[in-house]
Amino acid sequence: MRRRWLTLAALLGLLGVALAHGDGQNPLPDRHAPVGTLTFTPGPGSTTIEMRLEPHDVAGRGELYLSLTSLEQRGLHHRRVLRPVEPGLYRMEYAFPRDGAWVFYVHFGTGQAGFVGQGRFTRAGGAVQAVRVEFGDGFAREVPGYVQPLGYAAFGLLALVAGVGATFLLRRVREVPQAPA
Amino acid sequence: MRSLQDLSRSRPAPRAHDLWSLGVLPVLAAGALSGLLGVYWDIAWHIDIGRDTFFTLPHNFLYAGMAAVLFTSLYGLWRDRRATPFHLPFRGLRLHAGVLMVAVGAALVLLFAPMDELWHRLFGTDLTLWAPMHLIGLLGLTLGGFGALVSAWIERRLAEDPARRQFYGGLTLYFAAVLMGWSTLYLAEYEFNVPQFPSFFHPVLLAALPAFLMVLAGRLAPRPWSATWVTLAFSAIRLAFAGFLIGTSSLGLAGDSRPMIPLLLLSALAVDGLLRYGTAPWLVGLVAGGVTLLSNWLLVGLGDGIVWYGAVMATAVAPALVLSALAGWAGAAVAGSLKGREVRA
Repeated sequence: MRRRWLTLAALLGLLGVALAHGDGQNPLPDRHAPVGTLTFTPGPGSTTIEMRLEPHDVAGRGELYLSLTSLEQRGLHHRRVLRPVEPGLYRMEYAFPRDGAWVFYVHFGTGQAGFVGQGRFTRAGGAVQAVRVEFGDGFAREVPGYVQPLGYAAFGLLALVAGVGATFLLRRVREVPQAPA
Repeated sequence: MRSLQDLSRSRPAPRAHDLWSLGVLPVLAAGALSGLLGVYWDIAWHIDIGRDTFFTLPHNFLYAGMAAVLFTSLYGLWRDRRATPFHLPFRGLRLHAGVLMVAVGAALVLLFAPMDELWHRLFGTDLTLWAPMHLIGLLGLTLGGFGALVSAWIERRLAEDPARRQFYGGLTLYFAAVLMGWSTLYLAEYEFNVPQFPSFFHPVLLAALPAFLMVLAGRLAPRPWSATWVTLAFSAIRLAFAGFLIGTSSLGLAGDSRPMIPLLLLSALAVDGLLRYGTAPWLVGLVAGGVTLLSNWLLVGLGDGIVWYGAVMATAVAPALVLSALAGWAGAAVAGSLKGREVRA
């Protein structure tokens, strides 16, 4: 019985920590509209694609995920995780297989608390104009910062309960002696 | 020439009230596989088609399968009246330990489906598999899959007929293969190359999660080279899923995205080989994790999408190996529990 109360107290403590952490808002310093510029520089065999973020430290040293999808050829896409080559600057090479309309999706930060940007561009004769990207919050508007940590705390609590329950059942199974060979 | 009587003797003798003859295990076997397929289908749908309504084809498939599993496991809990040490007495019922886990897991999935929908409506469309409500659903699916494995193994321990024991041993390995599928499903965002969390987690979890199941299967060992059989079955299942996704995509019933299939066979061979020499489970897990890291590092290097670049590997190798060693230890501990207490003469 005492162990149960200790477990319950520990769980409530964890929940409290999660709530307190959540009250500190989201992990990124500025939740308001970071912007980016996507530029394309054609080269001999491929195009150099650069994404420059403003403010340049908004993603820290974190990765940036960039996805390009052709609107004119089903199944044609290129997805890549990028590391910053300098603060706020991400770069990759891509050999576009065709001209036409493309859409892009960019993400940085973790999970739903991250930032996403999307848009479209047209590639004509191998050239593409720079595209300005306005990033939005992964959450709907005016969602309190503690929502995501609270959700993870609920998952952690259930995982713990499931683990304790499974351990209880396994211990019971263990107590049954093996049949003689 | 064998007589009909001989042939009927060589067949596994059906037990009056075991979980297979009650129809519980066949439904669980189909449900575990269809649930896994449903989630992969759902992810491919979400990536390329979107999430316009709750009642998409993959959602309907997944939740109908889980409802069937929940109903069947509740039926099994009610109908299975054997009084064995593996059954928990509860208000006139005898609850089978494995089926109980399945029922709780399936109930968790079905309970959190509307919670997930509510989350989306209140907080926006979260585009990550690791969103809290999704993780709770995955927890339920994993618990259900593990419960199915435990159910099959308990039936093996209860069976007296050698052919029946062999059958249930094979069924246990089947559930271990599906559970290996569930364990790698946690990494689906990385496999589909749409990660929403840092790349670091991919090699770490890919090394450790299958190591648990390989050591578990290798230590249960209902037949020689069990870890290898489990991994072969896992790979065959994933290849069949890839075929399904290609087929449904060509019919316009899925997206175009395909997940990478992790290469785990070499790790499983290493696990079986080391366990034959009585190597400590934590060391077996560590080696399995190391082989998984190396073989998949080479595999992702061949592709054009997923990148395990140097900085990721530099930070991931040590945690991956530590976690793999822990997974190996845990796999052996669970296998020890399932095998039961040794009786010394």
